[in-house]
Amino acid sequence: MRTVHLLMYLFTSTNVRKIGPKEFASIFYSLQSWRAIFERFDHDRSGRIDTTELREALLSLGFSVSPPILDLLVSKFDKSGGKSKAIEYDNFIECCLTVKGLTEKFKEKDTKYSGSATFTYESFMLTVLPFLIA
Amino acid sequence: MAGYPPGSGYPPYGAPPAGQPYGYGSPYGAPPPSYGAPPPPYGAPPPPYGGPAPSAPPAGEKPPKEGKNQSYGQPGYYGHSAPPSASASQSPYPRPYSSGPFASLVPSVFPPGTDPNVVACFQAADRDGSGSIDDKELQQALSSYNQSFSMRTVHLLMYLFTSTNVRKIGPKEFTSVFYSLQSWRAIFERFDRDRSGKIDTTELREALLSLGFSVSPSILDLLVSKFDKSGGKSRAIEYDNFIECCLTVKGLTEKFKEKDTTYSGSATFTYESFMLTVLPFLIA
Repeated sequence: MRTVHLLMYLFTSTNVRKIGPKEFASIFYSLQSWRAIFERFDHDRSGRIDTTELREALLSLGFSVSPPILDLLVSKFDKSGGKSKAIEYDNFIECCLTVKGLTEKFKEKDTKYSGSATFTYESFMLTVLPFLIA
Repeated sequence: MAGYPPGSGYPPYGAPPAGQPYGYGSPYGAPPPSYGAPPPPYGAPPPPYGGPAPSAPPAGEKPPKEGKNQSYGQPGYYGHSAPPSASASQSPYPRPYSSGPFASLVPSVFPPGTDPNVVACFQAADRDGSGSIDDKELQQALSSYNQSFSMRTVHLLMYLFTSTNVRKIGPKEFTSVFYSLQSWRAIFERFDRDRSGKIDTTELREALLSLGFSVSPSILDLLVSKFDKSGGKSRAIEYDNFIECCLTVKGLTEKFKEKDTTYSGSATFTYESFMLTVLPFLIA
Protein backbone atom coordinates (compact mmCIF):
# COMPACT_ATOMS: atom_id res chain seq x y z
CA MET A 1 0.00 0.00 0.00
CA ARG A 2 2.95 2.27 0.66
CA THR A 3 4.08 1.93 -2.94
CA VAL A 4 0.51 2.61 -4.08
CA HIS A 5 0.41 5.79 -2.03
CA LEU A 6 3.78 6.90 -3.30
CA LEU A 7 2.73 6.35 -6.91
CA MET A 8 -0.46 8.31 -6.35
CA TYR A 9 1.42 11.16 -4.71
CA LEU A 10 3.95 11.35 -7.52
CA PHE A 11 1.36 11.23 -10.28
CA THR A 12 -1.12 13.63 -8.74
CA SER A 13 1.19 15.88 -6.71
CA THR A 14 -1.41 15.76 -3.95
CA ASN A 15 -2.28 13.58 -1.00
CA VAL A 16 -5.65 12.67 -2.47
CA ARG A 17 -5.54 8.92 -2.88
CA LYS A 18 -7.48 8.62 -6.09
CA ILE A 19 -6.45 8.75 -9.72
CA GLY A 20 -8.43 9.44 -12.85
CA PRO A 21 -8.03 8.04 -16.36
CA LYS A 22 -5.20 10.34 -17.41
CA GLU A 23 -3.10 9.67 -14.33
CA PHE A 24 -3.84 5.98 -14.59
CA ALA A 25 -2.49 5.90 -18.12
CA SER A 26 0.76 7.51 -16.96
CA ILE A 27 1.08 5.04 -14.12
CA PHE A 28 0.37 2.14 -16.45
CA TYR A 29 3.21 3.04 -18.77
CA SER A 30 5.56 3.87 -15.92
CA LEU A 31 4.92 0.52 -14.31
CA GLN A 32 5.68 -1.22 -17.58
CA SER A 33 9.05 0.44 -17.75
CA TRP A 34 9.73 -0.29 -14.06
CA ARG A 35 8.89 -3.93 -14.69
CA ALA A 36 11.30 -3.99 -17.61
CA ILE A 37 14.05 -2.42 -15.53
CA PHE A 38 13.46 -4.84 -12.67
CA GLU A 39 13.65 -7.84 -14.93
CA ARG A 40 16.66 -6.50 -16.71
CA PHE A 41 18.65 -6.11 -13.53
CA ASP A 42 17.49 -9.19 -11.65
CA HIS A 43 20.33 -11.06 -13.30
CA ASP A 44 20.06 -14.22 -11.26
CA ARG A 45 16.25 -14.31 -11.65
CA SER A 46 15.84 -14.52 -7.93
CA GLY A 47 12.73 -12.31 -8.02
CA ARG A 48 14.66 -9.86 -5.88
CA ILE A 49 17.24 -7.20 -6.49
CA ASP A 50 20.29 -7.28 -4.27
CA THR A 51 22.74 -4.49 -3.53
CA THR A 52 24.90 -5.06 -6.61
CA GLU A 53 21.93 -5.31 -8.94
CA LEU A 54 20.39 -2.22 -7.35
CA ARG A 55 23.53 -0.21 -7.94
CA GLU A 56 23.41 -1.11 -11.62
CA ALA A 57 19.70 -0.41 -11.89
CA LEU A 58 20.10 3.02 -10.32
CA LEU A 59 23.10 3.75 -12.53
CA SER A 60 21.07 2.93 -15.60
CA LEU A 61 18.46 5.40 -14.38
CA GLY A 62 21.14 8.01 -14.07
CA PHE A 63 21.70 7.89 -10.32
CA SER A 64 25.10 7.15 -8.95
CA VAL A 65 24.78 6.30 -5.29
CA SER A 66 27.52 5.39 -2.88
CA PRO A 67 27.77 2.04 -1.06
CA PRO A 68 26.54 3.44 2.27
CA ILE A 69 23.44 4.79 0.59
CA LEU A 70 22.93 1.49 -1.25
CA ASP A 71 23.19 -0.49 1.97
CA LEU A 72 20.72 1.83 3.64
CA LEU A 73 18.27 1.51 0.75
CA VAL A 74 18.45 -2.27 0.71
CA SER A 75 18.00 -2.53 4.46
CA LYS A 76 15.06 -0.12 4.45
CA PHE A 77 13.27 -1.78 1.56
CA ASP A 78 14.06 -5.40 2.33
CA LYS A 79 10.77 -6.96 3.41
CA SER A 80 12.52 -9.62 5.41
CA GLY A 81 13.86 -6.94 7.72
CA GLY A 82 17.41 -7.18 6.51
CA LYS A 83 17.83 -10.94 6.26
CA SER A 84 17.76 -11.45 2.54
CA LYS A 85 19.43 -8.13 1.79
CA ALA A 86 17.42 -7.84 -1.37
CA ILE A 87 14.37 -5.97 -2.58
CA GLU A 88 11.21 -7.33 -4.14
CA TYR A 89 9.44 -5.80 -7.11
CA ASP A 90 7.02 -3.45 -5.34
CA ASN A 91 9.62 -2.15 -2.95
CA PHE A 92 12.04 -1.84 -5.85
CA ILE A 93 9.65 0.59 -7.50
CA GLU A 94 9.31 2.51 -4.27
CA CYS A 95 13.05 2.53 -3.74
CA CYS A 96 13.74 3.88 -7.22
CA LEU A 97 10.96 6.43 -7.01
CA THR A 98 12.27 7.61 -3.66
CA VAL A 99 15.83 7.97 -4.91
CA LYS A 100 14.59 9.69 -8.05
CA GLY A 101 12.26 11.99 -6.14
CA LEU A 102 14.74 12.99 -3.45
CA THR A 103 17.55 13.46 -5.95
CA GLU A 104 15.43 15.69 -8.14
CA LYS A 105 14.40 17.79 -5.17
CA PHE A 106 18.03 18.06 -4.20
CA LYS A 107 19.02 19.11 -7.69
CA GLU A 108 16.39 21.84 -7.67
CA LYS A 109 18.38 23.40 -4.86
CA ASP A 110 21.77 22.66 -6.31
CA THR A 111 21.56 24.91 -9.31
CA LYS A 112 25.30 25.00 -9.82
CA TYR A 113 25.66 21.21 -9.87
CA SER A 114 28.23 21.56 -7.15
CA GLY A 115 27.04 18.52 -5.25
CA SER A 116 25.88 20.69 -2.37
CA ALA A 117 22.49 22.26 -1.84
CA THR A 118 21.21 24.72 0.68
CA PHE A 119 17.79 24.32 2.23
CA THR A 120 15.84 26.52 4.58
CA TYR A 121 14.26 24.60 7.43
CA GLU A 122 10.87 25.05 5.82
CA SER A 123 11.87 23.78 2.41
CA PHE A 124 13.83 20.91 3.95
CA MET A 125 10.83 19.67 5.89
CA LEU A 126 8.40 20.23 3.03
CA THR A 127 10.71 18.37 0.66
CA VAL A 128 11.39 15.38 2.86
CA LEU A 129 8.11 14.75 4.64
CA PRO A 130 6.10 13.68 1.56
CA PHE A 131 8.50 10.79 1.11
CA LEU A 132 7.80 9.43 4.57
CA ILE A 133 4.79 7.59 3.36
CA ALA A 134 2.11 6.53 5.77
CA MET B 1 19.05 8.61 33.13
CA ALA B 2 20.13 11.67 31.29
CA GLY B 3 17.34 14.14 30.97
CA TYR B 4 14.88 12.41 33.27
CA PRO B 5 13.25 15.24 35.22
CA PRO B 6 15.19 15.17 38.46
CA GLY B 7 13.12 15.55 41.54
CA SER B 8 10.05 16.93 39.84
CA GLY B 9 8.34 13.59 39.85
CA TYR B 10 6.04 12.52 37.12
CA PRO B 11 4.07 15.42 35.69
CA PRO B 12 0.41 14.77 36.39
CA TYR B 13 -1.99 15.71 33.67
CA GLY B 14 -2.80 19.39 33.77
CA ALA B 15 -0.09 20.43 36.17
CA PRO B 16 3.00 21.24 34.24
CA PRO B 17 6.12 21.25 36.37
CA ALA B 18 8.69 23.99 36.17
CA GLY B 19 10.01 23.51 32.74
CA GLN B 20 13.48 23.31 31.48
CA PRO B 21 14.14 23.97 27.83
CA TYR B 22 13.58 20.93 25.72
CA GLY B 23 16.97 19.72 24.85
CA TYR B 24 17.97 16.56 23.22
CA GLY B 25 21.39 18.08 23.44
CA SER B 26 21.05 19.46 26.94
CA PRO B 27 22.41 16.40 28.68
CA TYR B 28 25.57 17.17 26.80
CA GLY B 29 25.83 20.60 28.29
CA ALA B 30 24.91 22.81 25.36
CA PRO B 31 21.33 24.06 25.54
CA PRO B 32 20.14 24.22 21.94
CA PRO B 33 17.81 27.04 20.98
CA SER B 34 14.38 25.86 20.06
CA TYR B 35 14.17 25.88 16.33
CA GLY B 36 12.04 28.70 15.12
CA ALA B 37 10.24 30.84 17.68
CA PRO B 38 11.22 30.39 21.30
CA PRO B 39 8.88 28.00 23.06
CA PRO B 40 6.17 29.73 25.07
CA PRO B 41 6.32 29.07 28.79
CA TYR B 42 4.04 26.08 28.86
CA GLY B 43 6.28 24.64 31.51
CA ALA B 44 6.79 21.78 29.16
CA PRO B 45 7.67 18.51 30.79
CA PRO B 46 11.11 17.76 29.47
CA PRO B 47 10.72 14.44 27.78
CA PRO B 48 13.42 12.14 29.12
CA TYR B 49 14.42 11.28 25.65
CA GLY B 50 17.30 9.05 26.34
CA GLY B 51 18.59 8.95 22.80
CA PRO B 52 21.20 6.39 21.95
CA ALA B 53 22.63 6.33 25.44
CA PRO B 54 20.21 4.27 27.49
CA SER B 55 20.81 3.97 31.18
CA ALA B 56 18.75 3.19 34.22
CA PRO B 57 17.12 6.08 36.08
CA PRO B 58 18.79 7.33 39.22
CA ALA B 59 17.78 5.34 42.24
CA GLY B 60 14.70 6.61 43.95
CA GLU B 61 12.93 7.90 40.89
CA LYS B 62 10.10 5.70 39.85
CA PRO B 63 7.62 5.90 37.03
CA PRO B 64 4.00 6.17 38.06
CA LYS B 65 2.32 3.02 39.17
CA GLU B 66 0.05 1.02 36.96
CA GLY B 67 -3.07 2.68 38.29
CA LYS B 68 -2.12 6.09 37.04
CA ASN B 69 -1.74 5.00 33.45
CA GLN B 70 -4.98 3.15 33.56
CA SER B 71 -6.92 6.02 34.95
CA TYR B 72 -7.16 7.41 31.45
CA GLY B 73 -9.21 4.52 30.36
CA GLN B 74 -6.69 2.74 28.23
CA PRO B 75 -4.78 -0.17 29.62
CA GLY B 76 -1.99 0.85 27.32
CA TYR B 77 1.44 -0.25 28.23
CA TYR B 78 0.65 -2.48 31.16
CA GLY B 79 -1.87 -4.29 29.05
CA HIS B 80 -3.30 -7.50 30.12
CA SER B 81 -0.69 -9.05 32.35
CA ALA B 82 -1.10 -9.70 36.05
CA PRO B 83 0.05 -6.92 38.41
CA PRO B 84 3.66 -6.61 37.47
CA SER B 85 4.93 -6.05 40.98
CA ALA B 86 3.55 -9.39 42.08
CA SER B 87 5.15 -11.33 39.32
CA ALA B 88 8.39 -9.44 39.71
CA SER B 89 8.73 -10.48 43.30
CA GLN B 90 7.83 -14.06 42.60
CA SER B 91 10.06 -14.61 39.64
CA PRO B 92 12.91 -12.18 39.46
CA TYR B 93 14.19 -11.78 35.97
CA PRO B 94 16.84 -14.41 35.49
CA ARG B 95 20.30 -13.03 35.05
CA PRO B 96 22.42 -15.97 34.21
CA TYR B 97 24.96 -13.91 32.32
CA SER B 98 25.58 -11.01 34.60
CA SER B 99 29.01 -12.33 35.44
CA GLY B 100 31.50 -14.67 33.94
CA PRO B 101 33.30 -14.77 30.64
CA PHE B 102 30.16 -14.56 28.57
CA ALA B 103 28.84 -11.30 29.97
CA SER B 104 30.06 -9.21 27.09
CA LEU B 105 28.68 -11.54 24.47
CA VAL B 106 25.03 -11.76 25.43
CA PRO B 107 22.26 -9.18 25.50
CA SER B 108 22.58 -6.64 28.23
CA VAL B 109 20.92 -7.25 31.55
CA PHE B 110 19.07 -4.88 33.80
CA PRO B 111 21.45 -2.87 35.92
CA PRO B 112 20.90 -3.15 39.65
CA GLY B 113 18.36 -0.65 40.89
CA THR B 114 16.14 -0.85 37.83
CA ASP B 115 12.53 -0.34 38.76
CA PRO B 116 10.87 -3.74 39.14
CA ASN B 117 7.96 -2.48 37.05
CA VAL B 118 10.29 -2.09 34.10
CA VAL B 119 11.78 -5.52 34.61
CA ALA B 120 8.35 -7.06 34.93
CA CYS B 121 7.10 -5.34 31.80
CA PHE B 122 10.11 -6.61 29.94
CA GLN B 123 9.42 -10.10 31.16
CA ALA B 124 5.78 -9.90 30.20
CA ALA B 125 6.62 -8.58 26.78
CA ASP B 126 9.33 -11.14 26.08
CA ARG B 127 6.90 -13.90 25.30
CA ASP B 128 9.37 -16.36 23.90
CA GLY B 129 11.74 -15.81 26.80
CA SER B 130 14.58 -15.09 24.45
CA GLY B 131 16.07 -12.37 26.62
CA SER B 132 15.38 -9.71 24.03
CA ILE B 133 12.22 -8.23 22.67
CA ASP B 134 11.59 -8.34 18.96
CA ASP B 135 9.33 -6.02 17.03
CA LYS B 136 6.24 -8.22 17.23
CA GLU B 137 6.60 -8.65 20.96
CA LEU B 138 6.99 -4.94 21.47
CA GLN B 139 4.01 -4.21 19.28
CA GLN B 140 1.88 -6.63 21.29
CA ALA B 141 3.02 -5.15 24.56
CA LEU B 142 2.13 -1.66 23.39
CA SER B 143 -1.21 -2.48 21.85
CA SER B 144 -4.27 -2.29 23.98
CA TYR B 145 -7.60 -4.02 23.72
CA ASN B 146 -9.01 -1.40 21.42
CA GLN B 147 -6.04 -0.18 19.49
CA SER B 148 -3.06 -1.72 17.82
CA PHE B 149 0.24 0.06 17.96
CA SER B 150 1.62 0.53 14.49
CA MET B 151 4.59 -1.58 13.47
CA ARG B 152 6.14 1.44 11.83
CA THR B 153 6.35 3.25 15.15
CA VAL B 154 7.80 0.11 16.73
CA HIS B 155 10.50 0.00 14.06
CA LEU B 156 11.24 3.69 14.42
CA LEU B 157 11.60 3.34 18.17
CA MET B 158 13.89 0.36 17.77
CA TYR B 159 15.99 2.19 15.20
CA LEU B 160 16.33 5.27 17.40
CA PHE B 161 17.21 3.33 20.53
CA THR B 162 19.64 0.89 18.98
CA SER B 163 21.01 3.01 16.12
CA THR B 164 20.78 -0.12 13.98
CA ASN B 165 18.25 -1.84 11.81
CA VAL B 166 18.22 -4.92 14.02
CA ARG B 167 14.69 -5.21 15.25
CA LYS B 168 15.32 -6.43 18.76
CA ILE B 169 15.95 -4.63 21.99
CA GLY B 170 17.60 -5.79 25.17
CA PRO B 171 16.91 -4.80 28.76
CA LYS B 172 18.90 -1.59 28.72
CA GLU B 173 17.31 -0.27 25.57
CA PHE B 174 13.92 -1.41 26.78
CA THR B 175 14.31 0.70 29.88
CA SER B 176 14.94 3.78 27.77
CA VAL B 177 12.04 3.01 25.49
CA PHE B 178 9.82 2.50 28.51
CA TYR B 179 10.55 5.87 30.04
CA SER B 180 10.38 7.66 26.73
CA LEU B 181 7.00 6.18 26.03
CA GLN B 182 5.76 7.33 29.40
CA SER B 183 6.71 10.88 28.64
CA TRP B 184 5.22 10.67 25.16
CA ARG B 185 2.03 9.37 26.72
CA ALA B 186 1.99 12.34 29.08
CA ILE B 187 2.55 14.79 26.27
CA PHE B 188 -0.17 13.20 24.18
CA GLU B 189 -2.67 13.34 26.97
CA ARG B 190 -1.72 16.85 27.86
CA PHE B 191 -2.34 18.12 24.38
CA ASP B 192 -5.37 16.03 23.50
CA ARG B 193 -7.44 18.76 25.07
CA ASP B 194 -10.79 17.58 23.84
CA ARG B 195 -10.01 14.00 24.92
CA SER B 196 -10.83 12.72 21.52
CA GLY B 197 -8.02 10.18 21.62
CA LYS B 198 -6.54 11.98 18.64
CA ILE B 199 -4.44 15.05 18.17
CA ASP B 200 -5.61 17.49 15.52
CA THR B 201 -3.62 20.17 13.75
CA THR B 202 -4.06 22.82 16.44
CA GLU B 203 -3.20 20.44 19.25
CA LEU B 204 -0.20 19.16 17.28
CA ARG B 205 1.10 22.66 16.82
CA GLU B 206 0.97 23.22 20.57
CA ALA B 207 2.54 19.85 21.32
CA LEU B 208 5.43 20.52 18.96
CA LEU B 209 5.84 24.04 20.35
CA SER B 210 6.09 22.65 23.84
CA LEU B 211 8.83 20.35 22.59
CA GLY B 212 10.64 23.34 21.22
CA PHE B 213 9.71 22.96 17.57
CA SER B 214 7.97 25.76 15.79
CA VAL B 215 6.57 24.48 12.53
CA SER B 216 4.61 26.38 9.95
CA PRO B 217 1.00 25.60 9.03
CA SER B 218 2.07 23.99 5.74
CA ILE B 219 4.33 21.58 7.55
CA LEU B 220 1.63 20.91 10.14
CA ASP B 221 -0.93 20.07 7.47
CA LEU B 222 1.54 17.77 5.79
CA LEU B 223 2.32 16.02 9.07
CA VAL B 224 -1.32 15.51 9.93
CA SER B 225 -2.15 14.18 6.49
CA LYS B 226 0.82 11.81 6.53
CA PHE B 227 0.14 10.45 9.97
CA ASP B 228 -3.63 10.37 9.91
CA LYS B 229 -4.64 6.72 9.78
CA SER B 230 -7.94 7.50 8.16
CA GLY B 231 -6.12 8.78 5.09
CA GLY B 232 -6.90 12.40 5.75
CA LYS B 233 -10.54 12.20 6.71
CA SER B 234 -10.34 12.78 10.42
CA ARG B 235 -7.38 15.15 10.09
CA ALA B 236 -6.06 14.00 13.40
CA ILE B 237 -3.34 11.69 14.67
CA GLU B 238 -3.67 8.77 17.03
CA TYR B 239 -1.25 8.01 19.84
CA ASP B 240 1.18 5.69 18.07
CA ASN B 241 1.45 7.88 15.00
CA PHE B 242 1.76 10.91 17.24
CA ILE B 243 4.90 9.40 18.72
CA GLU B 244 6.21 8.69 15.24
CA CYS B 245 5.32 12.18 14.06
CA CYS B 246 7.11 13.86 16.96
CA LEU B 247 10.13 11.60 16.67
CA THR B 248 10.34 12.32 12.96
CA VAL B 249 10.09 16.08 13.41
CA LYS B 250 12.60 15.93 16.21
CA GLY B 251 14.98 13.70 14.28
CA LEU B 252 14.86 15.65 11.04
CA THR B 253 15.14 18.99 12.81
CA GLU B 254 18.16 17.87 14.75
CA LYS B 255 19.84 16.60 11.62
CA PHE B 256 19.08 19.92 9.98
CA LYS B 257 20.50 21.83 12.92
CA GLU B 258 23.71 19.83 12.71
CA LYS B 259 24.23 21.39 9.31
CA ASP B 260 23.01 24.83 10.27
CA THR B 261 25.82 25.71 12.61
CA THR B 262 25.20 29.44 12.42
CA TYR B 263 21.52 29.07 13.33
CA SER B 264 20.68 30.99 10.22
CA GLY B 265 17.69 28.87 9.29
CA SER B 266 19.47 27.51 6.24
CA ALA B 267 21.63 24.44 5.97
CA THR B 268 23.82 23.11 3.24
CA PHE B 269 23.95 19.42 2.48
CA THR B 270 26.07 17.44 0.09
CA TYR B 271 24.07 14.92 -1.91
CA GLU B 272 25.58 12.12 0.15
CA SER B 273 24.77 13.64 3.51
CA PHE B 274 21.30 14.61 2.32
CA MET B 275 20.44 11.05 1.33
CA LEU B 276 22.08 9.51 4.39
CA THR B 277 20.20 11.93 6.63
CA VAL B 278 16.79 11.46 5.11
CA LEU B 279 16.66 7.78 4.20
CA PRO B 280 16.70 6.39 7.75
CA PHE B 281 13.44 8.17 8.37
CA LEU B 282 11.73 6.27 5.58
CA ILE B 283 10.56 3.56 7.84
CA ALA B 284 9.70 0.24 6.29
